[in-house]
Amino acid sequence: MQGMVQPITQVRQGESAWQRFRRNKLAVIGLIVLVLMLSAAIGASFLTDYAPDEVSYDFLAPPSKQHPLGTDDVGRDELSRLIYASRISLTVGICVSTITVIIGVLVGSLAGFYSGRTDAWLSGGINVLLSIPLIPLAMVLGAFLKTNLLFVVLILGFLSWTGVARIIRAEFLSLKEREFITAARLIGMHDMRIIIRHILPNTFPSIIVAATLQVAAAILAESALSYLGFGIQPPTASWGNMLQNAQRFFRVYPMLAIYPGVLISLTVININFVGDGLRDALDPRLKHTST
Amino acid sequence: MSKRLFSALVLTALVFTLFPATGLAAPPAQEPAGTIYTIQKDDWLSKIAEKEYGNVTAYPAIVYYNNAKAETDDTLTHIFHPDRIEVGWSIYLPTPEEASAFFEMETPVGVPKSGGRVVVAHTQEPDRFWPPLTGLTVSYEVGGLMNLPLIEVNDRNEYQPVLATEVPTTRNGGLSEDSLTWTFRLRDDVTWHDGQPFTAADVKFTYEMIMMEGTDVLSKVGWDSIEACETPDDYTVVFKFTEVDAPFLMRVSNTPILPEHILAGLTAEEFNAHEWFRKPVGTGPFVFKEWVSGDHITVVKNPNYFIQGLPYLDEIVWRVVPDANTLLNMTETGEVDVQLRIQNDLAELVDSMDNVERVTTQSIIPWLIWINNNHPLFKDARTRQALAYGFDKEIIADKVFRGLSEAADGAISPQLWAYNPNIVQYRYDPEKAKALLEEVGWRDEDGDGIREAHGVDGVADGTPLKFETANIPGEQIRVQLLSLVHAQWKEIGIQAEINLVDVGTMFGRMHPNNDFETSYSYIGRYVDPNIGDLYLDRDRFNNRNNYVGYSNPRVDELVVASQQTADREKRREYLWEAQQIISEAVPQLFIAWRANNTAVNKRVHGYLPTPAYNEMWNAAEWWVE
Amino acid sequence: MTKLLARRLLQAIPTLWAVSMIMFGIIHLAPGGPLAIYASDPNVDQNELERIERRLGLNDPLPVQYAKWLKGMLIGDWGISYKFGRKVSDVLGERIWPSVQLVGASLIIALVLSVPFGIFSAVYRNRFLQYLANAVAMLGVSIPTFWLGMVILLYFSAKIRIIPSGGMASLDVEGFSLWDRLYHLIAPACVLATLNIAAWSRYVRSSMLEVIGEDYIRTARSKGLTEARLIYRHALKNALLPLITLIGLQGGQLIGGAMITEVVFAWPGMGRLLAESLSGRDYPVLMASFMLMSALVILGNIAADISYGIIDPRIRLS
Repeated sequence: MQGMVQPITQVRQGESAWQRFRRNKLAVIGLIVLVLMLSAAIGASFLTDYAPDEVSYDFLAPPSKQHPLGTDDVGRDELSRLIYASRISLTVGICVSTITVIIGVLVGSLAGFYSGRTDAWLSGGINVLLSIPLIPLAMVLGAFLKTNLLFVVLILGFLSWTGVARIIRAEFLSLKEREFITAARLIGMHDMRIIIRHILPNTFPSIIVAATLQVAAAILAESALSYLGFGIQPPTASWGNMLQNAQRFFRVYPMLAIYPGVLISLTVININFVGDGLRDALDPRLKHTST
Repeated sequence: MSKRLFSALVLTALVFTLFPATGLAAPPAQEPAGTIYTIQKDDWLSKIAEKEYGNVTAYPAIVYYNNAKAETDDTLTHIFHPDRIEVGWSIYLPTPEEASAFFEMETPVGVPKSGGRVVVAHTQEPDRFWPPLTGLTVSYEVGGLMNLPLIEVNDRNEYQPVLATEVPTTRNGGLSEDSLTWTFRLRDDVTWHDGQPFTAADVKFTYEMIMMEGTDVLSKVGWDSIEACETPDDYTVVFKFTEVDAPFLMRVSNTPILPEHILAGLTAEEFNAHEWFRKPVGTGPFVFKEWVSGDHITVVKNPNYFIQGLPYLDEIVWRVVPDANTLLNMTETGEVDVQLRIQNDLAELVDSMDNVERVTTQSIIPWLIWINNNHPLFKDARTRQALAYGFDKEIIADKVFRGLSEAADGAISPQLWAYNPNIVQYRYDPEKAKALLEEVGWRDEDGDGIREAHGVDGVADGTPLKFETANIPGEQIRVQLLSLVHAQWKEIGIQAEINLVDVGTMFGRMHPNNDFETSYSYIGRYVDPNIGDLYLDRDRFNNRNNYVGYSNPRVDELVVASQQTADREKRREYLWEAQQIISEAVPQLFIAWRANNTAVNKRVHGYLPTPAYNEMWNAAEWWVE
Repeated sequence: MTKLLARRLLQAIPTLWAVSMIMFGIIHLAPGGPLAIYASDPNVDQNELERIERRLGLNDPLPVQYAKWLKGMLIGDWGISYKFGRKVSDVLGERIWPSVQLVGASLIIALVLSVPFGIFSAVYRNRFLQYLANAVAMLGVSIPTFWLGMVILLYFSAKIRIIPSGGMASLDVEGFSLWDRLYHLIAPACVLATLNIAAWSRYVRSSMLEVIGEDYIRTARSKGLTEARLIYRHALKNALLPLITLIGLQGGQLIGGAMITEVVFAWPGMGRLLAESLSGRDYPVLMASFMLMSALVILGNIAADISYGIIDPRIRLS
C-alpha cells in the first residue's frame, strides 16, 4: 500500500512550476483547448460569414453547406451564434472570476489576519452580502436595470466574492496560528509582509481552486439567469441564453441544446483541468519538500 | 381552417348537385344506409335527434356514426363537440335501427358518463377567486367552476343565461326602451354549496360590495352609474342607471355573485382578507376541496347542482406547473389531461403526441407593439405608419405564429359584430415606409445605415432613429417575433433593440410614468367591443389605460357615444368610424390574434373552447371515458 | 461556546437590519408598483388602482414605508400579501416546509456522495480511477441545473416513466405519505445536489492533499498506522474543515437558491414564491421571504463557525 501518496515524493529536484505543470497531461490538454477556444472567440469574424443576429425565415434548418450546424428557431446560423456566444460567455466567466478573487482575497485576508474589530466589520459586510441569495437578488436588480453584459458581470462579480473571502479568511485564521508566523511576528516583521510573503502563498492552492470554480460558476450562473430571463439579453448570443432557448425544442431538435450545453461543459472542464494542474504546480509545500 | 372548411363545403355541394346518385350510392350496399343531412339554420343535434328518432337524447348516436363514417368519407364533417355544428355541414344520420342498436351496446361510445377526474394544468396559480379582486384569467377560470355569474359568454361570443333565466334584451322586456333599466329574472332552483337558497338579495349584496369603499375591488366603472338596485321579489333584480352603460352585460358576466349570508356585515378590511375568496362557497357545479399552495387546487362535484345530471366529473384538479417543458412532459405522460394556452411554437410538439388532441381557437386578444405617441421620435403619424409598413405581418403570422394566429389590424376582432373590415390594413411595403420616413425628415446621410433626423419636428438634427422595445422575458416566441420585426426595420434604416423587463416594470413605465419608447405585449379584450380604455383622451377622461397617449377629439366623441347607447346598430356605426380614424393614425402596431392552443387528452370529452378566454366555462359538461 | 453563540446571534441583528434596508431600497427602486400587473386588463380602472395604492401606503415617502414595515416586523406582523389578500406568515408558512424538505434531501445526497468521492480522488492521484472520478465531478459542476433537470425529466419521466414529472405529491394519495414524498423528491434533490457533489468533492480532495502532505501524517505513517486508518482518523478530520463551512453556507443559500430546480420540477417552494412575488411586486411577501432566507443563511453561518471551532482547536474561540 505504500506509494499511495506518491506525487509528493515524485517531485524532482530543482524542477520549475512550468515543468511540473507540463507533466500533467490533462492540464496541458485543457490549456490547449482553452487557447483554441479563446482564439476562436477573438477571431470570430474570420470564422463565419454570418452575423450572429442575422435572422431569416429558414427556421430550424438541418445542417447544410451554408449553415454547417443548421439554423435556430429564428433562422440564425447556429455555428456563428455559438462562436460569438463564446466571446460573451468566456468574458463573463473570466471577468467575474477576476473580480471575485480580487475582492475575495483582499477582504478575506484582512478579516482573517486582523481578528477583532476589522474582522467583525468585514465579516459583518460579508455576512450581509452572503445572506442575500444570489439569483433572487440578481433578478430584483435585473427587473429594473438593463441586463447587458456589463450588468451580468458586475452583478455576479460583486455578489459572489463572499464565498472566496470566507475560505481565505478561514485559511488565514488557521495559518496565522502556525509557528512560522508566530516566529515572523516575534522578529518584528511588518504585517503586510507577513500577509504577502508568508500567509498568502500558502493559500494559493485554495485561491486557484476557488478561481477556477468561479469561472465555471459564473458561466453557469449566467445560464441560470438566462433561464429566468435576466441573463445576457437576446438577440446577443451567450451559451446560456442559447441553451435556454433551445430547451423548448429539445424533443424535436436536440442538437440546438446539445451544442451550447457541450461547449459550456467542455469549457468548464478544461478550466478545471488547468486549475488542477496549476494547483499541483504551484503548491508551495511541494516546493518545500523538494528543496 | 375556415378556408379548408369552405373548400370542403364547395366540394360537397358540387358532388351533390352534379352527381346526386354518387353521393347516395357512396355507403356500401350491405350496410344499412342512413341519410346525409345538411345542417340548417337553428339546428341542434338534439333537435334533429328528436325529429328523426323521437328521442332528444339520441344525439350521441349521430355523433358516433357520423364520425365513424367521416373517417373514410371526406364529404362528411367530423363533429368535434355536439354543441358545435355549423350551417352547411354535411353529416351522416344513422338509421333508427342503428340508433337503437347504439344504445344497446354494453358501453355506448360517445355518451357522457359520470365520474372520473380531469387534471388541468397551467403555468400560473390563481390568487383570489373573485374577478373584481383579480386581474388573473386563471382566477376567473378556476373560480368559475365553483361560483357563477348571472350570465356568461359562450363559445360564439354571445351572452347566455346562467343564474338568470334569460339575458335581458329590449325584446324580452329585460332592458327598458331608454336603455336605463336592466331587469334580471333569476332561477329559483339554485342553492349555495352550504344549502342556503340563492336569491335576489345576494345579487344586490354583490353590487353593494363592488361599490363599498376601501375594498380591493379593482374597478367600479359602470357600476357607479347605477342609481338604484331593487329587488321587487326574491327572484327579480332591477338595476336603474343614471346614464346608459352599453357594456353592462359584459360587467355582469365577469361578476360571480357573492353569498350575502356569509359575507354580510364585514368591514372593508375583513372583506379583503376573507377566507371565502380562497375557499369559496358558491353556486357552481363544483365545490371547493383543497388548495395546496404552489401545487394544486382540487374541486369536487356538487351533487346539488341546479342542472340535473351535471356535472359529469367527480373532480377537477388545477395543477400549477411553471415550466413549459415540464408541463409538456406531464401532458405526454397523462399526468395532465388538459394543458391550457400552449404557445404556438410548441403546437408541433403537442401534435406529435399520440394521446392528446390539439384544439386551436382564434381568440379576440391581440398581440401588439405599443408606441409612445408623445415621444418626439414617434410624434408624427407618418413615422408610425412607416413602422407599420416596415414589417411583414403576414409572414410573421405564418412563420412565427406557426400559421395558427391570424394577422390583426385593430383592437376589435373580426369575430365581433363591431369589427370594421374597411380599416387600413398595413401590409409589408418597405418602399412606402422609406418614402414616409424621407417625407418626415428621417434620412441616412452619414451612411451608417441608420436614419438620422434632418428637420424632424421636435427632434434635434442628427438624432438617429434608434429606440428600444420593452419585452417581458419567458416566452421565446416574443423574442423571435421582435428579432424579425427589428431586422426588417433595420433594412429601412430603423434601429430597434429588445429590452427585457418584467411585467411590473413594463407597464409601470407605460403608466403612469409614460417613460417608454415601444413595448410588446398583448392586451386583454372582452366580447363587448368597447375601446374606450385604449383611446379615450388621457386628461379629459382621466383615462390612464391609454398607454400610448393617443388623443383625437372626434374619436373621443364617437367612443363616448358608443358607450351611451345600447342600440347595437348605432354602436356599430360609431365604432366603425372610430376604427377607421384610429387605423390611419397607427397609435399601436397590431400584429396578430392570440391563438388559444389547448392539448386535450383523448380520454376527455366535451371540452369546448371559447374565444372569450374562460377555457373551463363548460367544465360541467366534460366527461371522461 | 454558549458565549460565542450568544455573541454570534447578537451580531446577526445588525446584519439582518442591513439586509432589510438594502432589500427594501432595491425593491422599491424598481419602477411599477404592485398594481402595475393589472395594466393589461381593460376592466381595471387605473383611478381605482390609485386609491388602492394610497390605502396601502404605497405613495408614502420611502423612509415612512420602511418604518411602518420595520415596526410591523418587530411586533411579528409581516403584513398582508397584495396578491393573495392573506397574511404573509400564512403564505410563507405553506412554502417553507417543501423548501426545507428539498434542500435537506439534496444536502444529504451531496454529503454522502462528495466525501468518499473527494477522498478517492485525493488518494489515487495520477491514476486512471482518479481521472474518472475527476471527470464525473467535473461534469457535475459543468452542467446547468435546468438543462440537467430537463434531460432527467425527458428520460426518466417522459420516456421510461419511473419518476413523476413534477409536483410534491400524487393526487391519489390522501394526506401525507413519506414514500410518496420521497418518490417525488428524488429527482429534484439529486439535480440540486449535483453542483454541490462536484464542488464539495473538490474541496475535500484539495484539503486531503494538503493534510496528507503534513508532517504529522507522515509521522503517523512511519509509526505504522495502516493507510485506511490514517485517512479516516487523521486526514479526513481535517479535510472536512472547509466542507463544514460550505454546508452551513449552502444550506441557508439553497432555500432561496433552489428556485430553478423548483421551477423545473414544479416544486412548490420558497424560490418560486419569491420569483412570482417579484413579478407581481408583492412587497410584503418579497421582504418577508428575503428576511427569512437571510436569517437562514446567518444561522447556517453561525453553525459553520461553531463547528469549525469544535473541529479545529487551533482556532482561537475568543
